[in-house]
Amino acid sequence: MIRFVLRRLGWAAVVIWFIVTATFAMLAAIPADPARVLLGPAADAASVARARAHYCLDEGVLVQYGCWLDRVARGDLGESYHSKRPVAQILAARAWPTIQLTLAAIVLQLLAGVPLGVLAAARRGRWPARAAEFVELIAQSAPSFVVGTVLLYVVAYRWDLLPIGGYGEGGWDRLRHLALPAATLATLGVAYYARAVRVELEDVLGSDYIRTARAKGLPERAVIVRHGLRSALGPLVTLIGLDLGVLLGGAFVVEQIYAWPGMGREVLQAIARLDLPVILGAVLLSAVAIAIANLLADLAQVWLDPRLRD
Amino acid sequence: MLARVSRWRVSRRLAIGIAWVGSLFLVGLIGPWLTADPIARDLERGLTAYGAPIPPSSEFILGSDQLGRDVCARLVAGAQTSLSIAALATVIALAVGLTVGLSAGYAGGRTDGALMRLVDLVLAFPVLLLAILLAALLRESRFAGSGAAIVTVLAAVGWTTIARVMRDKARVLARGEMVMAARAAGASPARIVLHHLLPNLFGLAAVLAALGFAQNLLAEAVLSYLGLGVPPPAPTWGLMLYEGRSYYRTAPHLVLAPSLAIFVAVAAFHVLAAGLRERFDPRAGSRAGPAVVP
Repeated sequence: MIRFVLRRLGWAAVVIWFIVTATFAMLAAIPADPARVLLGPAADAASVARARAHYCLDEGVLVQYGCWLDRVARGDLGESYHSKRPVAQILAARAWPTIQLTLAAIVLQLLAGVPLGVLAAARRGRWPARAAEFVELIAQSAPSFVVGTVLLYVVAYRWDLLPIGGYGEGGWDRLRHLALPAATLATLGVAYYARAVRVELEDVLGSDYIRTARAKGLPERAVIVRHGLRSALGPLVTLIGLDLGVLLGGAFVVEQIYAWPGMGREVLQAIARLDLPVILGAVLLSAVAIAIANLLADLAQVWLDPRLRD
Repeated sequence: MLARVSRWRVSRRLAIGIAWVGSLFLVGLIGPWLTADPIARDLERGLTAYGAPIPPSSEFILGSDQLGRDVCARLVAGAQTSLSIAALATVIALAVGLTVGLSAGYAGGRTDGALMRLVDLVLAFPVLLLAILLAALLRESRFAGSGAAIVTVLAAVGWTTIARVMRDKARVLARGEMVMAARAAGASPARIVLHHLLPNLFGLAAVLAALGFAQNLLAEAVLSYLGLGVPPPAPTWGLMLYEGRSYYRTAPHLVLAPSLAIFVAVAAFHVLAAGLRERFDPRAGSRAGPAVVP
């Protein structure tokens, strides 16, 4: 068990290093000059040269890379080219909105996706199953910006039920601002969770222990919920782990539509400004989030299914 | 004769998928000849007296956009652009994924380990972030201004899951009795791969291609929506949405028309993929990884 965890940790470290290094390489390959972007087209050559020297942009790529890695190892993510504030501070301000959005979306995915999958598997071949599959197809085919814009237009603008965008003041107001972004973000996940539950249940409902459970007179509802759903937990945990990791890196489209002040908007802005320290910091953070989430999902998997302990 | 008939028998779902996708391609192929010029601005008739987009009317079936261009014509031309970008990216991703997966699965051992570690590493990248970074990188390069940049991004992101799934299947086949028999009969590795493995991967490849097509359509639209896709004035659905999004209150048709087009096209490929999966390999692609879209 300990060897399993250690091996996973080692691999996670390699993955994080690879992601950060690949990002650095891609950014270094962009031919545009960050100093020029920073100062604008009107700046004279002397100030551009000064800015280049200040941010070590005149050194070779490898020196810059080593310099950055060294600072990160000492816990310093550097400061933004654009706002001059420390990157850690910028990202910390974006973390909490992103976490709220992520958790809300995952809760919604579970609340909608699991019942949908159960319905599709339990009423197989009859109309509720067909309806559930249809909902699945729609959720799968509607991209987030389509769902987002339609919800924005209908619910927020036409019906005026919820705010059009922004972060809200906290408490009830925050929940009202969170509702549409979370629902939009959850749409695709609902389809994936429903599919995972359906596939797993269809597999399991034909097996012997389910027949035993039915034979001993357990009501169908209890058979499905207590015996069938238990085996769907594994795939669900994997999906939640994947979602946690990816969503904590920021929901680029949804945050853009609803002006939600999360990581995604910060990264997009930073890419537009070629604000390299912010991009690298955000990528590092999201790589770490993904690694931790995957590790937790693997551990939960082993805990759920003792056969996996080798 | 009997075997032949059953081989080409098509389920209803697959038939619907093929017809749906086929009509999309038909629209993309011949539609542009039947509609107006998608790029021509008509500032006199194409805008209201106040300079606002015209809602759907008898003259403009789907209305006009903020520059007085015919939305219907742009939608049809966008079908051509979006479908060709997605098609090209899918073909490249499939070729790379198939090659990598097949070599890893057939060779096994070290080659397999190394190639799959590489796939794992690329897969560990947050997909959308990788696409955004690549798009930002290529935007500054020589490719800028053409569809080549976006095709490269989509293919670079898309080959990994294909390679993974192909490798699993090829591995099972390569250890099976069929390959053992072929080897005993003296078949060369090249012959085994081309004549025994490849034909058996065809069904899986078809499923993955349909799923990949849907993914690429979505990803192209997402990147365009974030301002990182094909540059204007080329009409793609994502770009139309991106340009129309600030008019969603006054001219919702600018948002609804491309939204619906993307939705209908992606759904078509999902139905096709479901039909193909039923036909060839019931469990294929059920673990094809998360989508690009969050």
